[in-house]
Amino acid sequence: MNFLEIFTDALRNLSTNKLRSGLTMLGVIIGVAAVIAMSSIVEGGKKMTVEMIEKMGTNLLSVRPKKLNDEELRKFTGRSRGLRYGDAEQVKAMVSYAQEVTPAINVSSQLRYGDHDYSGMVEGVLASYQEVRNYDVDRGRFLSDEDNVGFKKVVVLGKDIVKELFTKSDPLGESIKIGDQRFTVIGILKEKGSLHGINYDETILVPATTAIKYFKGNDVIDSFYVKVAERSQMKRAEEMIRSILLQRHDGVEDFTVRSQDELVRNTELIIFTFRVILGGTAALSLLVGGIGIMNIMLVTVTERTGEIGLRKAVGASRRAILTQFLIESVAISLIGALIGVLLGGALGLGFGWLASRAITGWHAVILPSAIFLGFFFAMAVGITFGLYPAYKASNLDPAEALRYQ
Amino acid sequence: MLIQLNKVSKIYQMGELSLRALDEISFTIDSGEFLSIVGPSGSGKTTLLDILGCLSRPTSGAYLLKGEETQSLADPDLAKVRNRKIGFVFQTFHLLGRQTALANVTLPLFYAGVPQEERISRATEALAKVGLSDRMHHRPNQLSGGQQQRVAIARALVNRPDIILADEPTGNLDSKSGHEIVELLQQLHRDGHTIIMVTHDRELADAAERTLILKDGRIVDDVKR
Repeated sequence: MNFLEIFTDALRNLSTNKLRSGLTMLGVIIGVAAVIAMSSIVEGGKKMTVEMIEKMGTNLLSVRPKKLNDEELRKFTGRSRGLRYGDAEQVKAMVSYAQEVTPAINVSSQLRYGDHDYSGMVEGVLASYQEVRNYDVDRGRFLSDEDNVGFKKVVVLGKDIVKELFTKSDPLGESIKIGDQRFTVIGILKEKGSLHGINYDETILVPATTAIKYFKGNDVIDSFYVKVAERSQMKRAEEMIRSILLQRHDGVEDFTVRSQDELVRNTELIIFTFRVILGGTAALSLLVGGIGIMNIMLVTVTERTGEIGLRKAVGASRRAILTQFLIESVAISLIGALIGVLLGGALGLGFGWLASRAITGWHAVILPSAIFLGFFFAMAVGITFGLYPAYKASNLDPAEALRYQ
Repeated sequence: MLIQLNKVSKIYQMGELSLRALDEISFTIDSGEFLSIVGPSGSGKTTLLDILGCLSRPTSGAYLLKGEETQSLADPDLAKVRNRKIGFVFQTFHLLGRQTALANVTLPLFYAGVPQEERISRATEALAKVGLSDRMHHRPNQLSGGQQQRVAIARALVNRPDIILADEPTGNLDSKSGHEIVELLQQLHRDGHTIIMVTHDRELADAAERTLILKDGRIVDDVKR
């Protein structure tokens, strides 16, 4: 039995009533399109988020001061003194899992170059900040230990700051004003993008000691970051840091310790939820599509009772009739899958294109596995729901079928 | 002896009621005969044709076609018998409306597993035999009733069957076309085909050389001319 011929015949039979065939396919089309489009969007989001998180640095714990609410303020009156430089040093000394500990001092400042100016957050950091926070220098160099030791007035800028202040000229080696101090630009950072609302290309980095000397005047720090040697040690490191700080802070929990890991896990949870919803929708759609196919095929079999009788009379076996009608069902679902793939692909890519305009780092992704799954399930639906009508057709009594009115 | 029926009965069970459509019918048909079967409605002639055409199984008795017992054959084998040994012509033609005359005639060959090219050449030959070479690519709705029936006859012939079974072949035709079809059947008979025709029309029945008269599921007369 030549399948190609039967398939071509099936297509011919379907095209006699294009409207009906089209409507029958709708369930499958929607189901498959949904799978393709949604998986594309979910994968795009996941890819972007994971990339960003990795760009920001893995195995990272960030310690920040926490504002106390009214109740806590009353309870711990006067005892909260904020995060101190000494906290970071102590953590570095006592937590063995900590590969590197680097503080950051934030100062809000006005930058000026010629007649361009920019108001932003200046961070005073150590040389170790580069490694811990995964910054790459595009041109020039990062801050060094010597810069810190010498209280040097040097600054490293992010791409967006350079765009703001230096339109056309080369910033390297130039002198800009931060507050009322003159700083020399020694480095420009590579593009990093945004994550969770923070634009990392607006970074301004000066030596920590310089910041303390010229802008801060005390040893209060705004955050410190701990790079843990191994992923598995993150939880223990977090616990240790918490207890050290609690002790140093007189029992007042005026700080937070957050891990990158948590971010990744949150993202994974969101992705998983989306996948479940996606899977559920697709399954439902395909189920409905399948029932539609079975329905229409039952009607078709009844309509073509005479034809079935005739085919049996000229020598079609039960198996031949079953095969013929089963293939017609499969043809419906395969064509539906094809249209669904094209539609879903277009939607997914379209959305991806729009998203990449709005959010940096978003790529449009089409998963080949989603396409494969779409076709596979569409075929499965065609066979499963086409089986009963085909079986009914094959079992028709030839004599009765021929005389059916 | 091409066909042998031994005490063939067909009983339809409808709840408590049983209908004896055929009551222990026995007769034989030789190769090359032109036989007509007549009788009033309910005489069982249609049922008899169904059994001869292997469209229906006897409730009891034996139907031997070319010496082979058919009543116990499984479906695939029965389908083969219908395909190779029997050619049908129906009152309502039963052509596939969406396909050309040529494609319609190739249908039995498709189920016989004949390759595409050979199918087309044999179908062309069959259509020539019934005088429709110039209408091969027409669809049924572009053909007259008589022409459609001729396509059906070509289809019945294409797989070189042992018997041609015709069920009221002129029933849906005007008298002119009807005569043409009868003449065609007589021509085929002269060419050596075995033809069995069921009809309620006595005039048509007389065109055959032998007539079986049925009543209430039994043969009441066997007329040879």
